[in-house]
Amino acid sequence: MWRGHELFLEVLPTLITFIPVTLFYFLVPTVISWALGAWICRVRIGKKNLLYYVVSLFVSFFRGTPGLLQLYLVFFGLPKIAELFGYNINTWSAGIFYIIATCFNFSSFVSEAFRGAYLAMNKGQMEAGYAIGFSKLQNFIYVIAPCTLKVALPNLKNLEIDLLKGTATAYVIGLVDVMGRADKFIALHRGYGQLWILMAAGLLYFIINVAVEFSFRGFEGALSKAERG
Amino acid sequence: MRKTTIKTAIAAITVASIGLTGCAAKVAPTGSGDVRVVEVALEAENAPYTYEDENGNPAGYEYEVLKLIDEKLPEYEFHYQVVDYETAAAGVNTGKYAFESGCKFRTPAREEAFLVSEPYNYFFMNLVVKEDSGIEGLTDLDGKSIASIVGTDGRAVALNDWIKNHPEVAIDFQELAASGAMADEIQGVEDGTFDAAYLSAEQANAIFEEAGYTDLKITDRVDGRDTVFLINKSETELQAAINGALEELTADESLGKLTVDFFGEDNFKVAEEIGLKK
Amino acid sequence: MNLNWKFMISDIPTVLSGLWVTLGLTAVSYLGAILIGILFGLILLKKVPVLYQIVLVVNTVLKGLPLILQLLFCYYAIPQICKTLAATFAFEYDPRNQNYFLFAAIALSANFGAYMTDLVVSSYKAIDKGQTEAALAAGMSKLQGILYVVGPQALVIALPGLSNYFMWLLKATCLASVVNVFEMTSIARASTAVNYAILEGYLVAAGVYWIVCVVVERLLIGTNELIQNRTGKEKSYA
Repeated sequence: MWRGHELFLEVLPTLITFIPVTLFYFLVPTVISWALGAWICRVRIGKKNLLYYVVSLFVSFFRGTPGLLQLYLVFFGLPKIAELFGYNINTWSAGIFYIIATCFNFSSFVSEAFRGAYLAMNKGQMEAGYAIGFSKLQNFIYVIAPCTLKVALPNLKNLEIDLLKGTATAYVIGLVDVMGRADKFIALHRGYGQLWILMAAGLLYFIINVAVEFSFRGFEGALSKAERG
Repeated sequence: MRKTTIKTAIAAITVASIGLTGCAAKVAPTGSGDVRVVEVALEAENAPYTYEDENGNPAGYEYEVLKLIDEKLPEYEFHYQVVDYETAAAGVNTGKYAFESGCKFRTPAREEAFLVSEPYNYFFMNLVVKEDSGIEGLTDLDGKSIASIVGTDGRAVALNDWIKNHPEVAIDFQELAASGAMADEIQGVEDGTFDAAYLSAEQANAIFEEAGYTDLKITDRVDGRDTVFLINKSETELQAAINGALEELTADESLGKLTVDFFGEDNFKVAEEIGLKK
Repeated sequence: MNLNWKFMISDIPTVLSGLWVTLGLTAVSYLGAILIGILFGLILLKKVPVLYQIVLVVNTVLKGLPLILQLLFCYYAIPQICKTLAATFAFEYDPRNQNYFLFAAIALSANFGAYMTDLVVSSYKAIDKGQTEAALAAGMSKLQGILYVVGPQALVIALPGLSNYFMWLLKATCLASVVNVFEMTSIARASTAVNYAILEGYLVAAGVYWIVCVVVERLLIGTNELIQNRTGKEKSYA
């Protein structure tokens, strides 16, 4: 503890510069997973064909195993699968593997949030949409999507915050974001003052977390306002 | 208003997904040209052998050796990634990396799982003990303890070998589940948790520099091993190429000179003296 | 794919031996989390001065930090705290055999305890105020009211949340492999020390996790439905 606070102040500015990296690995999987999750949800509420069972198995696996293990499996296993098809993806950076693993995991959870909300939706609204002459697409855009989203939002908010905090695990495969850089600082100081370095990283995660939480509240507020107005 | 927002959102999602896949495809090498890019894993947190400097660039003795080898092999281009201990070994096994460099001793398990290169350095283990402990070597540790090391670490293998060969000396040594920092091992000696830490003088000195201990000392070397690169099983050509380069670099004493720069003495000569080098 | 299938099959019993540690860690941390949740929840509900503010801050911090950070923090900090305490109060503490299991259990209990606190508060608030008054009117003491009237109802309301957190926790114990707990994931990893077939080891661990999670989830859903149905019936009779 002999120079802990100095170390804290020393690493903090550098760690701050890695906030955009952490945000990148939070936002990119978010965008992809919402799209992928919506598609999975559509398959899972549709006909029980082969695709339905394949997708259900996918969702079951990624919801039923720890994210850390999935990260390792994608990191070590995906290059082997790619090899089968004659591709060499070993040069890909850890970040791409993290994004892929996270999208598999996160879209499974997002799809379930969507599905739960869709099933809870009042079917009368859907019919009302058709009754006023909406096409299928129009009905989806103006009726189904907003209604589902509104119901799913509290659930999605919790998932998003988990996703954000989950980025801290990415350092185990060598991704250098706030936590990854903190880990490298710990290595550079050969294990001295880990607590202070971790505290600096923790402070930043906490701040990002609060910011995301507030953005969601704003979004929720805007959504209910739009509904009223 | 709402219409456009949703449309923009959908467009953004589509563009982002397409952009990402497009970008991923570009990264994949197309197997062009005569020069083959070889992915090399360097183990992190192992100064002065392999580590990342302040700017996140690879550094250390082994990195310098690899640069010399790469110069000798025009058909290969080494591309380095500094990764943690377990990722390195596992990644070479799955073929993610062609080979790894990280002070690896030759052990039966490794010779089974990987191709190994010729030695590129010799690694001598010393003990870090309290100055007034009177401990000079491993035989003095009868009934005493050595700081825990993760079981897959070559040091643990070497130490367990020694313990097996010396049943008359009862040393309390336990293995860890995941790799810990070497600094913790020395800290354990400092605060009296353990009687000794088992690592090289260079590693110990690097940690001493950071922490400024005054009541600890490093004993004379107590054991030694040669260190080798661990190469993926399918890379026989690469193994032959690396061995060829190492042979030349050993013969013209470039490696010996490099060890003097890093460790203050010619490890190859020392190894010869104590009968480690055949 | 050239996986070492023979090794994977031979690795199953080894990995399964770690399942008990994983389940044990889950059970201990879950109990810890519930205790913290009830304690913190009561403090928040009763608005105990000073403690109320402290709990609010602690709760926010615990929920705002990545779990892996909390695990690492406990991993590094608890031995130091123990050392200081041992020196001050002269109690027995063996730094050679660190109880990493306990460190991880503390971190997991604290983290999930924060979520449990919210669950306790929201479940309690979901119950009609009239219920407590009715219990008091029926001549019950305040404690009896909580034990026999409000408590059971809150429990039923909290059940889905309780099940969810159990599933999360079961999977979260995997992170303890990073801080030297010999649970299923790290045993799978350690078992590959002989041949470095780490992908195979992790695949086996993932398979076991998958089966366990599906089975546990089914059991929890079944129990939930059973209880909801029963309480539903009781209500209709009442």
